[in-house]
Amino acid sequence: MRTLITPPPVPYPPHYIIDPVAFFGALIAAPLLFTALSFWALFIPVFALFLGGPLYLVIGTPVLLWHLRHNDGDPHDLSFLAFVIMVAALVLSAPLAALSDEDELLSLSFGYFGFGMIFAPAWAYVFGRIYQHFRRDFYAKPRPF
Amino acid sequence: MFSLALLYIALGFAGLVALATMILRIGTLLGDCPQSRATARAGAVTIATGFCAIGAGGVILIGAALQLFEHAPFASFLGALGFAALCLGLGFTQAVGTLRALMYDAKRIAA
Repeated sequence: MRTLITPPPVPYPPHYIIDPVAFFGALIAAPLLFTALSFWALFIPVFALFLGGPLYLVIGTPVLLWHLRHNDGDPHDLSFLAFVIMVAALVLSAPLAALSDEDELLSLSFGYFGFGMIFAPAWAYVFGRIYQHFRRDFYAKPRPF
Repeated sequence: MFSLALLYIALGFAGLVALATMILRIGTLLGDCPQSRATARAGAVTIATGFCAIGAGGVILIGAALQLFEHAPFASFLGALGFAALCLGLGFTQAVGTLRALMYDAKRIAA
């Protein structure tokens, strides 16, 4: 109980307020821009956009909201975060596949998250670049709350 | 389905108005201090206006999804209303955080 009510040590860790306009603009624009720039690669990015887009919005939005509250939003950090999330999803899917007795589930998740390990960091990197470019100065300042 | 959609719009916009009013009231409370009155009130009005515009857009967009789940009207109604409340709550938290940051910056400039 004591650990729950004890405040964190001073100086408090910096927090950032998320710029909502830049955030949602970057969230939508990042996968579209990456796909527009790389669609010539056997059209794989176009399929990735349709297959991975919903997961990106469902998982990516809360993870990015949480991360950007505590961090500056460096594109490299975001890219690494996306890679870690994809690895974690792959690791979690293995016991699920074993428990469900579905042989195809493991190979499907390997394929899905394997491609995700390439596209999620790329989308996150583009997101970070767009977000930092369009974020207003007021939201770029770290504050103690 | 139509009555549920109307109920969704009424409840969604009632929540939006209630939260926008709360932002204005918080701004008024912060404006009790004579030094920060102008910053707090102008900030609260600006933030509440932005919250209303974005929130109304969100409520309408989520409401549009009701039409997609016509075979399960009550479940989709509750799902849409819950999701709208969640988004409005997050927007309110963001708005209050922005107002707080505004006051923090104003205090630092004054000091």
